[in-house]
Amino acid sequence: MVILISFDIDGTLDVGDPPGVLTIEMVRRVQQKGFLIGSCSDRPLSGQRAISEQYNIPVNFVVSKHMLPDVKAKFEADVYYPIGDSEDLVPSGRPPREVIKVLAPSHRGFI
Amino acid sequence: MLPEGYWAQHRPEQLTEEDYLAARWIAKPASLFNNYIPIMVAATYLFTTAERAKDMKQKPVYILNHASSKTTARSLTPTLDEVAAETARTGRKIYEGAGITANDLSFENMYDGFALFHQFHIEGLGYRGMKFGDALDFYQTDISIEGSNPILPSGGNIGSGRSRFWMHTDCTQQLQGLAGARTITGVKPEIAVSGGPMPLGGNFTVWSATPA
Repeated sequence: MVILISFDIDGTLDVGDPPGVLTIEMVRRVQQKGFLIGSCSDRPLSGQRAISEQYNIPVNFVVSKHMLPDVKAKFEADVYYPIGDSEDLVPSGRPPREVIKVLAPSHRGFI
Repeated sequence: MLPEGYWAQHRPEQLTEEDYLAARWIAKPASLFNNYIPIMVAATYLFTTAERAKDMKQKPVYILNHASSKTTARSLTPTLDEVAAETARTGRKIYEGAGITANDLSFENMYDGFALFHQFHIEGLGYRGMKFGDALDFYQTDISIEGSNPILPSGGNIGSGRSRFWMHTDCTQQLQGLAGARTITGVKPEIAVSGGPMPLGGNFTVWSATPA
């Protein structure tokens, strides 16, 4: 099963401004599990890439918020799971079990 | 950007052309980066007479003129013609009160809270001989701080967050020789204008390194 997760930054990740509840280590774990991951934020693309480089987490995509449909068009996945604090990025419904298994052990409250 | 500004302090990475073009629309043709970020900030300025300022520690900057404009718009959304008429009227008041012409301006720091406002202001000023509709072509010249046509060396409100005073601060610092990395080098900073916010209404100040 191919799962794609897009992470907002500000208000979502602990390195965001304001900090969110998802830690950068959780993102790293998801990436290491083989999920397709990337960031989807209002931050400049170069700024998003800088975070990926700073924490040495390779990402499959970096996009602005309005470009999320482009990600869906570009990557074939069984599950697309955007995580963010803005209306269009709030996950709808319960996340797939595979996502829970990876993220939940370190932060059960979030999902 | 001013070192006290939001972006310089919190996200100093350089915005690239790709970043700008990838930004989402807020209201076409303005994208996210054509708008400032709201911030909490304050500044203090000390005003006194030229006579008293002579003996003070800081090199004084002289005010040649202050002009205001406030037009009653015909409707909620002004037309381009109305904007042009009012910015031209403001430019005339700015120059007449200061006893200068557009040719005397070393640089400008007009308002940019929404990026398109800046074009209206500088076209109204006739900055560097510009006419209405010329701003886009003018931007193809060297408008950097090293060039002969410096535009908004403060970085404005978009460059530092919404204070509406960075433009005044930069004018005074440029004329005092205290602008640091922002110092304009393509022209000698002698007379500058700052102000805004609205093309249809605002307050504008003409600053000078020497008394009138």
